[in-house]
Amino acid sequence: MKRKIFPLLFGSSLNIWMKVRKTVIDFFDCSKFNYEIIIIDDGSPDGTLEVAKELQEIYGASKIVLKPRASKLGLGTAYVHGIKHATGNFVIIMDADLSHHPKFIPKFIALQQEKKLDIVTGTRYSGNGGVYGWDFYRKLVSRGANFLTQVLLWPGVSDLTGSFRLYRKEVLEKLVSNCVSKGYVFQMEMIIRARQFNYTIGEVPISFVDRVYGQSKLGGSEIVQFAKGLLYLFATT
Amino acid sequence: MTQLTKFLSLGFFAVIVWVKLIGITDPDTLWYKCLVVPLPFWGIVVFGAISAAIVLYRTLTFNDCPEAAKELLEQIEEARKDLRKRGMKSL
Repeated sequence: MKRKIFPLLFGSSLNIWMKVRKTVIDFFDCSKFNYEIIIIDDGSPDGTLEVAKELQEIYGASKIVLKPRASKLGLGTAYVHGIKHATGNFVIIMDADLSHHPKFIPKFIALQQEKKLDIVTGTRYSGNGGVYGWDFYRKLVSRGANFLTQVLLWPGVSDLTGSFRLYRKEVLEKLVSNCVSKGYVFQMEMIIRARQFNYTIGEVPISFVDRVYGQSKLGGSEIVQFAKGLLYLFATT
Repeated sequence: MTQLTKFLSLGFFAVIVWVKLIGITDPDTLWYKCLVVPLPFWGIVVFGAISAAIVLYRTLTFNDCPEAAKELLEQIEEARKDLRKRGMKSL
């Protein structure tokens, strides 16, 4: 079975290499899966592309595929861009700032194979899942937003805003082309649309380590954007 | 059917039940004045209280994962060393 990985890079360049190394060495090289790591960089000013190029020299261009873009064009189009270059039949999407640890990938794949699922999504809210680096306020907002989402949308999935997920390639293609939202809401919409199309979804508890590199933003404008997105999904799905 | 229409039909159904309840309760009782008539208000209060309790409980029991952060930092250091050895300059 051919599986493809493409971490999307947000911010912090320091660390594609870490992701790549753990993914490659600890898992893929001693597993039976074919893989490639597709790195999408929207012209980050922090040298992401240079680091990625060096990694490509070390690990080879068949394992590490660089698909830079000239400017910031948004999440949805980054996905489209990545899918276009993915040659396998499964895609794993993860943030490359190290908040998503590759050690969970084998669990995603095992669950997918066991239940023949279309999507496996990481969850911070159930089982052994959790977060590191969040204060009380951040946790309260996160839990509150999640509760509200559960009440209004009945999604059947405990974590809708996470972006550590495994998709069947054609499922991802279809979802991306049907989602219009941005930011957090994009991730939510992907799951909600997946429900509408009757795709099967499984969950793997993950630990989300925030703030090792960079800081996640959560200001008033994020909350407003989230609320708007939630109401949009509430009224239209 | 969208979530909005589901909620509207649920709300509509609840209103019918409430009106019916008002109709069959004796208007001279305390029940009528304090519970049956302001039932929607009490419903909101109870729902709010339960929601607040759930959110607070989940916030306080949110897994902190300090060991995951520790593991990650160790692995970053290890990876950094390994990649330097392999000739990576931008570290």
